[in-house]
This record gives sequence, structure tokens and C-alpha cells, in this order.
Amino acid sequence: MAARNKAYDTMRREAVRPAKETAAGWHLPAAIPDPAEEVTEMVEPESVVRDDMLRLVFTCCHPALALDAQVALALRTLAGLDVAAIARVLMVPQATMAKRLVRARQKIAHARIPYRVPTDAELDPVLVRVTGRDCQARKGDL
Amino acid sequence: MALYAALLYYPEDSYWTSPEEEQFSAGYAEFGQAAGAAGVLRGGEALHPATMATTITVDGGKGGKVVTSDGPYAEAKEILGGFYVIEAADLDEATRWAAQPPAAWRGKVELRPVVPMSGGAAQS
Repeated sequence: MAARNKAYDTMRREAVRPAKETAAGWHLPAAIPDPAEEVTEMVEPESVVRDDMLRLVFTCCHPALALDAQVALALRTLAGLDVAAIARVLMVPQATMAKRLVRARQKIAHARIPYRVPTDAELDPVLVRVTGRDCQARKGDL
Repeated sequence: MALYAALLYYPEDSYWTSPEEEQFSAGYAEFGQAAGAAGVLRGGEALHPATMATTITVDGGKGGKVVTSDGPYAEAKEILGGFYVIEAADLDEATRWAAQPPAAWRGKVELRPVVPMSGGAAQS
């Protein structure tokens, strides 16, 4: 629990964002750091799975985030594309994309979307979301 | 831990005070007991129907003319019927609780994170 609290403190910490993203979030109290940077700092000894990247995949694809936010967040934090590139690829204005990413990060922080791998019981519907297809047949491989 | 407001929305034609909804009152009692025993229930109230609502706005800024109107702020097919305040570690835990009162299948439950106020009980 101490580790988790520390992680959330870290997430709430002020961080220097690229100017456009910061500007897009001006109306909210604090800029939220990039989950990709923050997750790697997190230590959760009670967790069996220590794969930060895997946890990040599940956070980016959490159902509490809109699909367009999931896609943008995955391209930003998992694929490492910058905002301009994501905006081009998804054919939306760069300011719109910056705003979408800021909102997604803020929702992760304020609504406390967890950084964790789902339990076995939760996994099936989650995998459909993460991979975009039904993974029932592949469950044994996990 | 974080606080969440679980806002219970009902279709207007099957509002929780309507006679046909009475069969679900046991479901709310059950939820209240389970959530209370688990220590996650931090408050909540049931609301009279939206037809009992009065909407207030002040025209022309602070100290301006107080305008009241009969009815809810937004006319919608689904109306706010009550709320719980739930304390949970994260959104996934809050979601598990929010899925339990009958409003979750009679209508919808909206989970809104509560802004922690310094010195308030919401601080964790």
C-alpha cells in the first residue's frame, strides 16, 4: 500500500510537458506526468507480475477510457510516437490530440485507473479489448 | 484510498419510488449491508423524483436576480435517483461495488471521483 501511495504521489507530481500538451490542460489543476515514465518508477513487491510494460498495456486499454483515448495513449506511451505523429496518423488536429492525451492521463490519475495486470477472472474480456479479438482459444497460452 | 460518488440514474418510467420498483428495495438493503460491513460506504441519500426538483440560477452574477424554475436542470430520459459515496483503492474496486445496487441494471450508475479537500475526510 505504501508503494501504491508513493506511485500515486508520483503521478500527481508536477512534470514538464511539451508546451502544447500543457496548454491543452490549462483548466485543470496540475499537469499529469506521462504514464510511460511514471510506471517504470513504480515498485509493487506484492505483485507476482513485475512486467511494467504489460501493466501499461492494460492501463492504456482500460475500459474506463474511451476507445480513441486508448488508441492515442497506446501510440504515445507504448509505441513512443510524439503528439504530432499520432495526430497525423489518426487524422485529427494536433491540438485535439494533445487535449485527448491530457484528458486520458488526468482520468488515469484522478479516477485512479490502476496500473496492474487483471486477475484471471477479469482477463478474458480484457484481452478482447487489448488485442481487438476474442482470445478464448488462446487462454491456455498465457 | 479514494472517494467516489456513485450516482444512480433511473429511466423516468421506472423510477425507484414507483410501485413496480418496490421488489428491488431488498437489493438496496443487501448492497447497503455488504458495502457497510466492508467499510466502503461513506454516505449517500435517496432522492425524490425529478418532478419534485427546483432549479435555481442567479442572473447577472453574484448578488443578482435569483431565478427559480420547476423541474430538474436537464430534461432527460434518465434521471438522478440517489447516490452513494464509496471509498475504494482504485477505479476497478469502485466499479465492483457500483455494479451491485439494483440501479445498475434498472438504469445506470455513474462513478465520479471526488476531489480530495485538504483537512477533509477524503484525504488518504
